[in-house]
Amino acid sequence: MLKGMKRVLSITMAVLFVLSILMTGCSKTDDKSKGQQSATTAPAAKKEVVTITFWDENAGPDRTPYLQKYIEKFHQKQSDVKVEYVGLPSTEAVNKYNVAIAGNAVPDCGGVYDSWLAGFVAQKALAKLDERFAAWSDSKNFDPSAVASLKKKDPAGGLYLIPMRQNNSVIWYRKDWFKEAGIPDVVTFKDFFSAVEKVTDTKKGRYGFSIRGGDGGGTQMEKMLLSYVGTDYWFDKDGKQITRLPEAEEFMIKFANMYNKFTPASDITNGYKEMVAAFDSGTVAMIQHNLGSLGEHTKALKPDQFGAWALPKSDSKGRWAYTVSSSSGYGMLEGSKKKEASWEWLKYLTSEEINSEWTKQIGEMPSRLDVMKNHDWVKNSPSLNSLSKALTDPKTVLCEEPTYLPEFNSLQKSVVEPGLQAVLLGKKTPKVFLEEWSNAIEKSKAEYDKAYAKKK
Amino acid sequence: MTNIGSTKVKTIMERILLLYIPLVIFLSFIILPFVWTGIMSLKREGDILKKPIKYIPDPATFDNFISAWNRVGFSQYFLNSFLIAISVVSILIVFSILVGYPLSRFQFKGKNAFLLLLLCTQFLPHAMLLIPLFMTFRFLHLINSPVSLVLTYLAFQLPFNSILMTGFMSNVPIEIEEAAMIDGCGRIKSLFRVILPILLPGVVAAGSFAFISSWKEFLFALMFINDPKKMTIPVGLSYMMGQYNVDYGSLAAGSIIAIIPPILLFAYVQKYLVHGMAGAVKG
Repeated sequence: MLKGMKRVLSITMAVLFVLSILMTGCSKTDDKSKGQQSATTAPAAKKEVVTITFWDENAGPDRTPYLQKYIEKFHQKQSDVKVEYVGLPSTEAVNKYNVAIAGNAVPDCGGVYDSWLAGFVAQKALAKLDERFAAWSDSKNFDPSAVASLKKKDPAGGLYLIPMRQNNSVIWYRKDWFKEAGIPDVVTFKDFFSAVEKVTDTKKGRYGFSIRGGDGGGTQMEKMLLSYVGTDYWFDKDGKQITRLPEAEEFMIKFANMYNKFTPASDITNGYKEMVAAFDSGTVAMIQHNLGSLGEHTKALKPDQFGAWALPKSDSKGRWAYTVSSSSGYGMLEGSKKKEASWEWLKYLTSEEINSEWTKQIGEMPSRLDVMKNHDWVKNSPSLNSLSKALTDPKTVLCEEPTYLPEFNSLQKSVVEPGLQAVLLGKKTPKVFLEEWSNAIEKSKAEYDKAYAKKK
Repeated sequence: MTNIGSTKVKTIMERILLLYIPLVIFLSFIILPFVWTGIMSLKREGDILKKPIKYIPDPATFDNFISAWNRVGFSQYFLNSFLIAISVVSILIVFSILVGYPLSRFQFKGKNAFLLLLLCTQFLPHAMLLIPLFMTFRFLHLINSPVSLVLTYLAFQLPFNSILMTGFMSNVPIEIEEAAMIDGCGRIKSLFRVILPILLPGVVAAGSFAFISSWKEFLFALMFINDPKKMTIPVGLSYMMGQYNVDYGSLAAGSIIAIIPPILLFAYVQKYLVHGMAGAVKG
């Protein structure tokens, strides 16, 4: 009996021992811990090597190999800095950043979406780059509007990110269907609403448009609303949002009327993936999205099957009205003790060569003017050209979307997205929805202005 | 004869209508998403979103599995998840038996309060403990180590499994243990030699739940681990969904790979599981 018991205990202990060995084997990198700010340096040999940790905010098998290639190139160029790459899944990256900030275990540098910027600045998580950027001879090559849009996220106007890419909305359309139906290109909203109707053929299972009614639908719809209204401001002098204009209500009525008539009924819960899948699977003729979805369309459709138009021109103003392009970029964390080395890496990562190769790979607009001017792929990209034509038109007006408001994102979730769904379902009139939205955002803007005035 | 025949037909018809058809509908409802994921994993990238929808992959390809396993790194994720889950199960079983035994066999002061405390730990949302745990593991230099995950999963699962084990043990008559003691067994010996074999279905049930919970956990695995070589399967799957691109083929293939161990596990332990859960309910 005793022998048997010993055997049981021995087996249990052996299993635990083997597992602990295996686990320890996996975890022997305590001092190399990625994401930690350990001052890892090589033994005092010929040259001191500084190791920095870089967080990629949107990692994946299609993108990570490129960034790893740039790291290899950088190591060859700059042998005294070693970059340790940590890829984050896009959907959870901001949460990982937030936990690292709260736990004081931040990386040295990383990619940051502009939509996170206001929150990170408020937490004092990022290092200010103004002085370094101004002293950098290459800084003049960056698109000033991209730099300005990033500065706008800080009430004090500081720069915390070097812009890497710019993005804006276009209308992706099925070139082959439009050709088949003999429908001309969409230039104005009148053309747009007419085309949506004409290209719909429910017998063939084809709809004219797909509305993003679910997650992220609010910000997408408001870009279109601005284009329809055609103003060069988001708030007027009295702090009233453009949603109070009669044109805004007119737009909402037309927009909501498309639902379930010229769009699939399932649009009500569409997030990005569902909307793009509807386009790529041949269910809808048009969607509104930015240049970032090019890769998905290219996987599913042939190049002659789809194209991109700029958002339609405002009928009443006769011009394009666009929000300032959103610019994501790379920044350094305030908690990093290796800012010099991080700055060298960020300069390399946003250099002309890498900026061109990277934005070409992800299909977005470069943040550098020299890449826009001198690189052939930019000139030969139809989708970029459509957008660029609209953005550089002398009559075009640009307007800052109030993403700098600390409550912008929460209002999207609590007011705009549910309100849009209620309008599409006919449970709320466009007028009531716009009124509620205006009240909420104007209140937030007034508080922001008051707080900012105090700081000044 | 005719009456007997018609009664038989009636019985068969009743079984078909009241048993088999509802079962088939129920099973289809549950199994359809898995079948669809399987079909998607065998399609070529260009065919996944193509219309008309291909219900049978033609031509079928294993490229998505090869890509998920080699290019994306599921071979490593799989091993990591497996090691973590097995570690948790091994330690958890030992500890939950050791906690469950005194709770079922002895009366002592504060027993009910202790049981209540164990139960209360289950009401805490795990996400609430994320930052305190992150800071603790950072202090212990365990961030980026699978040990942090094993400790976390143990801490979250031990109370529930101890309660479960207490229930199982209460169903084992104390007379069996007393008989073993009369025959010369000590308490520890009787626990491992007499009680444990009777408890086996309960141990399997508790172990299965612990394995599945560790296997599928995402939040802590994402937050505590940075090195891709140490990541687990659920975290690996999340890399298939970028900001603007979704690798549906590899995602489907990765999901199929991820569900294979739980399916095999449940297929094997099913008979124990039914007994085990019945025991827990009785207790």
